[in-house]
Amino acid sequence: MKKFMTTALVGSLFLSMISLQPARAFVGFWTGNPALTIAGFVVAAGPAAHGALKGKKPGAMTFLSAAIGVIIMDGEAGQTMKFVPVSAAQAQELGLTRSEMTAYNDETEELNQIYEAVIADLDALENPTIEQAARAWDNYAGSISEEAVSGARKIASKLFVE
Amino acid sequence: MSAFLPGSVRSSVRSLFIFALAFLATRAEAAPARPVVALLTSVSTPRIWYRPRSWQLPAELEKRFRQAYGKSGYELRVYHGAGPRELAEVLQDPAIRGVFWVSHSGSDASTDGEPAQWDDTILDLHGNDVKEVFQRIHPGIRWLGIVGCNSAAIFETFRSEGFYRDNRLLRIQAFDARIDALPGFAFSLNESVTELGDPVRSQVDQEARWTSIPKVIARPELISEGTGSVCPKVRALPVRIIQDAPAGQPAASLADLVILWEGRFLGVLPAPAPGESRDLTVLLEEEFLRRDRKLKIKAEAVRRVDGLEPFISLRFESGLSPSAWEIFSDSQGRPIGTWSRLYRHPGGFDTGSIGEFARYVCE
Repeated sequence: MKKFMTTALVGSLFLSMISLQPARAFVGFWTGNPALTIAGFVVAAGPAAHGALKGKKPGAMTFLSAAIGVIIMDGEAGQTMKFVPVSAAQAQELGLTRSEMTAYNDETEELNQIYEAVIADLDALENPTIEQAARAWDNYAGSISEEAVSGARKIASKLFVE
Repeated sequence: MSAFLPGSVRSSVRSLFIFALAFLATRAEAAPARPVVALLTSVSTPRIWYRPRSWQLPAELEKRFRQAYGKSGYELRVYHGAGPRELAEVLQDPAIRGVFWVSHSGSDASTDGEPAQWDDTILDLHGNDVKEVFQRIHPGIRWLGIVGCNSAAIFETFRSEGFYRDNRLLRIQAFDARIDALPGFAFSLNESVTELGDPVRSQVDQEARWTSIPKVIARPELISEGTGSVCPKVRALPVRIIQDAPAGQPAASLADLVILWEGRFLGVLPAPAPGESRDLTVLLEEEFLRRDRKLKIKAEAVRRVDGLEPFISLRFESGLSPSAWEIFSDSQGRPIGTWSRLYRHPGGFDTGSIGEFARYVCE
């Protein structure tokens, strides 16, 4: 009995220590128009760029919750994200060319403005689709350099989990 | 009764009374403003089965705050439903010595039953991320207690990026785990005693810091000190940012604007009334002006319950060519972004416009 009590005590202490550790979930379901917007951005590059999205429907996409080049924010209204500059080492890891990295880092603010604008465009639609999100991106893509767009697209495509 | 007193005595009493009034008036003028400890809450009340319906979390937090600091000697200020504007005003007020902020931060919500490691935000009641506002903290502030989940890393990052180089007196206490508001606040109040209170005279139960509320008594030197000795100056280009609201603009579309420069917090431009203008002068520090090739200023509208899609239209006055400021727009000239606007300047400034300015208002 004494042994059982000791084991239970040690066990509960151990469990309480575990629960105090900050949990890290690296994969999460991400729903709503912010998710659709980023999916549309990847799809806008053409079918070859979105293997992880093939056949997926909005609301059933799995995202990394920690990734390079973006900050994902989880508020009460859902998740959203923003692009952030990358270092040379991170750019290499993501497969960005030097000119893509430079353009992307110079235009992250603009990319975030467009991201927000596309979400607002989708909010105005009833049951928006990935394709509509892709078309919305196309409407704004001319406002920033092609290198920044292709760099951001490589970063965004890494968010999806197969 | 004075009618029964002889004339000479009446005259003496009158003189004494006038002297006393004059003395009190002099004392009142000479007395320095009392330093302030502020509580800002931006939380809703969760439904808890054992609490009565009338129970409100912000009121409970205020009760505990007054329990701890009510007889401390500090002036107390409380802001419920605080947003970026109230927070910025408090953090840049030279009278403030201590600040407690209670809100959600980015990791409060969970997606799959477990708290996800979403990156860092500090959210107010309406979902505005107020994180950047904490980049500018008056050097007279000694204590900042953040009661919200997983926000410690934000402040470590800000410190490593040099935002607190003027804040030699400042201690920041934030949590790196999920935390409930009431025990978290009790812990923060207890921790604040070593910075704002007299550890000998203040009662701090070290054994029960998550449940007991301390009775804080301020150290006398903290009550009497000013901030003149910690008033840093910086070489910078001042820029006046103006928002003119047309007379017919609905008031609900006029929001406070958080002004950011490449992620650096510059200030909050308060919402003008319809038909009026409001302005804010910000400092673009020379160090960053020379580093950033293109100057980009972002105005983010503060969301609130009754807010409509915001009206944002800014003018700039500075040593930078005013006509060179352009709003980030699509191919048809429509500004891109709904809740924010991005203004870009190709750079290049008149070095003669750079001067030395106090980074904060000082006493």
